[in-house]
Amino acid sequence: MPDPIIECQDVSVHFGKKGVGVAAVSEVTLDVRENEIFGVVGESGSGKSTLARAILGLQTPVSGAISLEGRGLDPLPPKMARQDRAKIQYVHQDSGAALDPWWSVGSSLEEGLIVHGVRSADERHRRIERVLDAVGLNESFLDRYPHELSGGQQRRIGLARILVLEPQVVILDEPTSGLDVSVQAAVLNLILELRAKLNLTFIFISHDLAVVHKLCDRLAVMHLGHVVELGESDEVFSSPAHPYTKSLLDSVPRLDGPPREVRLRLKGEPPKASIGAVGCSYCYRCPKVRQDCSAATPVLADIGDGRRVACFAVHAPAGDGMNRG
Amino acid sequence: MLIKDFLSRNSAGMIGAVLVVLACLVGISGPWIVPDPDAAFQTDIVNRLRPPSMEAWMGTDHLGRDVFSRIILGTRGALGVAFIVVAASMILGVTVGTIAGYEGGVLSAILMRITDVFLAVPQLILALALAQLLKPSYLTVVVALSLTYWPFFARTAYAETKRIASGLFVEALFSIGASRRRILCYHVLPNIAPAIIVRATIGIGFVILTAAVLSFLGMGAPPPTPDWGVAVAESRQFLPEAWWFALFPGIAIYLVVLGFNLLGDALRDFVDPRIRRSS
Repeated sequence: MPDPIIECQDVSVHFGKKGVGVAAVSEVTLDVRENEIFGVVGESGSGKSTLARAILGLQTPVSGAISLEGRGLDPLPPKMARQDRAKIQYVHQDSGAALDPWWSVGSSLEEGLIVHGVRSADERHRRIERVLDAVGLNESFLDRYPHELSGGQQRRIGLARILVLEPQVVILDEPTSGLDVSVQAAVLNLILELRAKLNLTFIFISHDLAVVHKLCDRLAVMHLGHVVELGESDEVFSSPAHPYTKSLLDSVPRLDGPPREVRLRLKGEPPKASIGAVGCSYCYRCPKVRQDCSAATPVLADIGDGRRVACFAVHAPAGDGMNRG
Repeated sequence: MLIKDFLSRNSAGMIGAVLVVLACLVGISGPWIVPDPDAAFQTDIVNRLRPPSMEAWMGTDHLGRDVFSRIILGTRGALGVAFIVVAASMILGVTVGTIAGYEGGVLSAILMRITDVFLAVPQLILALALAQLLKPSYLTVVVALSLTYWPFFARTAYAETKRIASGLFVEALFSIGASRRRILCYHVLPNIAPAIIVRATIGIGFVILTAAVLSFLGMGAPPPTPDWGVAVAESRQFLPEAWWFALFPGIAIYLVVLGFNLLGDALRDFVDPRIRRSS
């Protein structure tokens, strides 16, 4: 088994004060292994992006530890944390808007290298050339401006901009949203290609389950700041254990074949995650809810094969004395 | 290309641009194009307060000096003061506004409250008070108007910087580790420049008008200087008989202010239709 490159241990990120604030990320424990594509899945507001920001150092966790290659990352102020964590880089969802509209693509690519202290112009140009080639664009793009690029090209430039910095871990935030299906496929293939070519590790944030299934080796399912299920992507998709994962998979619309038999249906908006809330975050929506669900918060426990689930109903199936509430 | 595009779409802006270019040309070449340089300064009591004629197109003033020549020569002073005032308040205002807009927190609050204090005092009164403390001269006008005009730039720069800084590309730059100075100088400033240029263009017209008011009230250039505001002030005692003495300098002020306002308005609509008008 490859070594973990990033480890999060009980990481919590809160916004606002206790009582009125929101627990965006609650005691998340996960490990990302070297050279894998690790998916983070969940609804809007489930804390995916906040978790990414915590790993990047843009958001200081209130508790918990994050380490990179076994080295503990100190909770520094964002500016210093970003210097300390240069090996972890982030590609924005909207790569076009992440480029200064007044700067040509070439200058934007070069700027990252200048910021990272690459003094020699020759070295900078060599690295840019190499990366442009890797993302499948040629040098004619260097003189263009962000608005002159198509959606797919913007994603490629967004990736290139990060890859010139030679990171080890790249966090991709919804890299395929808003793209045509054909362009999506091209971007996904590019990610697979880059992983092999540059020995990269990707953290892939998405709510597009089909894409996650296709691309990711392992994934974590998040609900209201909690990781509720974590495991090999194929296994999670073929036999989801947590009721929330089941309902997520069931809510994917299907056009081909007969309608899927709905095991569980998700209803309503996700409730708010307040700081210090007790009980399973999913108990308000869960069809398998029991009395103990609101009394204590289930922890992420191993159920075999490296699969981890946070659900009382899975840990101790019904029939052992605890009936539905 | 861009200029042609801009002018063809906006006839008011076209008029403004013509007026501004004309005023600038007159301001630069004033001493060489003036018909009779001596007539602008030499007292000629015999020919005082003559109505417009072939010799003196716009008549003569109470000392027998040629009004037309004095208007031509006054252009440089009026424009010079306006450009210096706008440049100085732009440097101060944009610095304050950009830092306050980017930093946020206590520093931002302090800077913007100071700006608000300056904004709250009526501009002309503050300028008058400052001018009163100093000797009447162009320098006084420049200092007084710069100190009262910078908050407008600070407000514009503050709002624009806030908008730009909340953009994704600033966050992306921060996330790759770019320094604050790099983000502010290379990324925020170019992005807020259009709004600042618009504000400056309208500001020049406004400053010319305020400078004329200060001169009119005797806080500006001392009398022998050919100045539009001074001319209007001196003409008061001879109205309504010597109408030309007041009318022509007034028209000069009017046309130049109109020119800069029309150009500024058109630029604003061209650059960003969403920027609101606020004086």
